[in-house]
Amino acid sequence: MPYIQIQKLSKLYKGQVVIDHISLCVNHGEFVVLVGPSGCGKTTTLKLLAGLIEPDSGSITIDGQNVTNLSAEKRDVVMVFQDNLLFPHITVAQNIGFGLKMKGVKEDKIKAKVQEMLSLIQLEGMEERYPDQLSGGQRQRVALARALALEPKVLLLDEPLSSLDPALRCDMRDFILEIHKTLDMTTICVTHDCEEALHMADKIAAMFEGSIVQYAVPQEIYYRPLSGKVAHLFGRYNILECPLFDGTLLQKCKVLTEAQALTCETVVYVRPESIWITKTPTKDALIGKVLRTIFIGEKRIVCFSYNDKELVAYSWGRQEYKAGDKLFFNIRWEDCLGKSGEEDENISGCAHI
Amino acid sequence: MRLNKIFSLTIFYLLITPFIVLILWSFTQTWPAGELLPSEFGFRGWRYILEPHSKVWHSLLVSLSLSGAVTLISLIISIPAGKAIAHYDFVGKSLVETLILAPIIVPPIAVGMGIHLSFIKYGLADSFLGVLLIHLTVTLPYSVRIFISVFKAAGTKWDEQGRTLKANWWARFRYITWYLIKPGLVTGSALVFNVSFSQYFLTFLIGGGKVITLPLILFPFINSGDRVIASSLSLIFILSSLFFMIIAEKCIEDNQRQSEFYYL
Repeated sequence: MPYIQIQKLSKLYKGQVVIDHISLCVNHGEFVVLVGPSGCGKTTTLKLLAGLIEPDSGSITIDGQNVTNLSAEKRDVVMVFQDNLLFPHITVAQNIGFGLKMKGVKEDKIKAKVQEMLSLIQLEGMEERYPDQLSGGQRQRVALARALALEPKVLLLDEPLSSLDPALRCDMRDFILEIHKTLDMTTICVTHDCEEALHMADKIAAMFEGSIVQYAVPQEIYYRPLSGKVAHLFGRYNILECPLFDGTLLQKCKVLTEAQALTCETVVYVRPESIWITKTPTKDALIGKVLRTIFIGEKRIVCFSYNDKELVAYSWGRQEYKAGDKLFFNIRWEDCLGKSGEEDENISGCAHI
Repeated sequence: MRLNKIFSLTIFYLLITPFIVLILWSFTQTWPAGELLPSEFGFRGWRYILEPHSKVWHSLLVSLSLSGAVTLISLIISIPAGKAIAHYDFVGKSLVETLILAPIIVPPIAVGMGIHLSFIKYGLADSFLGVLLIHLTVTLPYSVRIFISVFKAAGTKWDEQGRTLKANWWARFRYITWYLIKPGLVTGSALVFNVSFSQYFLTFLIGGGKVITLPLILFPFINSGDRVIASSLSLIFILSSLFFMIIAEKCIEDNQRQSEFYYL
């Protein structure tokens, strides 16, 4: 039995379908990231889980209990919002203890819990400060502690890092993961940052227009996206027809357009790093012509043509490609064909739905 | 920097000059036309006010309790009303909004005339309660408007955060909303109090001379050109209004000045 089970959840807003029959299963202790473009319904899904809005149909079960019609105040779920929302008029300690106070926990117990939380988020001695005396990262940590103090069954994070500057974001990612592991939490996080999703998630659910299009572990969703939209979410890609004949891979290459991909049954989305390029011929290599290269730090993006179609690959190290150069490439099909095109039968990740 | 100083000084003098004139007038015995200063000073104005039969103190008391009550009731109604209109969708929302605003779109005099007839019918005319109600019709549009803006600006996210932290509706109001709307409370009560405190016509119409407020005492003196007494009364008027403001500010004090929210 999965810990969180969402079944055919739907939500209409002013007659428009915002969430369209979503099903999703999350096991205890998992870190699931919902990723998708803005307006795809990620935050709405989170609010449905938190109980802040009621679904029009479908059900949510948490730890065996049907919570579909349970209000947010009674649900064992806490949500951390995008811009921390620390109450500005009370101190850090009062903020962290807020939820416990609302639950009617005794003063001395609250105090002990607040201290425990402060040491967890490494902000001991800051209890008497007010939120505006903290830095952005500290505020986000306090917001996290405020949620965790309630020891919720499920922690919901709505773009928890988007208000932080990039350098801080990386630290906070590690920090959130560490806490997630330490406390053995079940966490669902929303983000539009694909790197963040890949970094943190045990499983990623890609959402588009109110539906979950793919739900899989990061490697799977990255290397074997089920559609161009999912592939696009995680960076550059090439669309190729899978050259699978009699169980053996032939080193052939047919480049497809997005439109062709929709009708082709054996389409694969190949990441640039799965195309191996060299200046000298290798076994079974195909020949392309460099169109342009772009330097982006640790690697170069090499765009080259093959049979008048454009492909993209990365060149690592110092090997320089110039426009017009000839290059040789091999496609590492094994990266993109782990399941040999066989689709996961149900996207929800639930065994028995 | 220098320009800034000149600017603020100008503003200061522009604000203070009318007061100086009022203070001078209130201590004047004779002030011949065309003179810069009064030729003779005296205490006629203040003597009138302090006289027991002048009714000034009684009317001041009526005014303060009337406007105080109007302010309190306005706030109590406007807070939930403002929240409902700002945050929720319900059937007939735009109609409710229009109706709330109606009394200040239509001239208050016309409203007062119409309501007067109904008030006579229900025995509300010539009574404190009647005057209180008619003041509310004028002040509510303003205060509801203020709270709609305050709640719109604050958004629903604070409420949602409160809910996920297991606060019930009263706890959310008491510990979260109250602090978010404090600036609105100060602005709202100042506006409502002053609109009610300086209301002349509607008090006169509905109160029918039975409910005597400070403006009712003040107007005849302005009308008849007795500037000395009018000025003294005006000063009392301004001072009591200021006094109320200070009390309101103290009651709703924002100790930490943490509220980043919107004086509207």
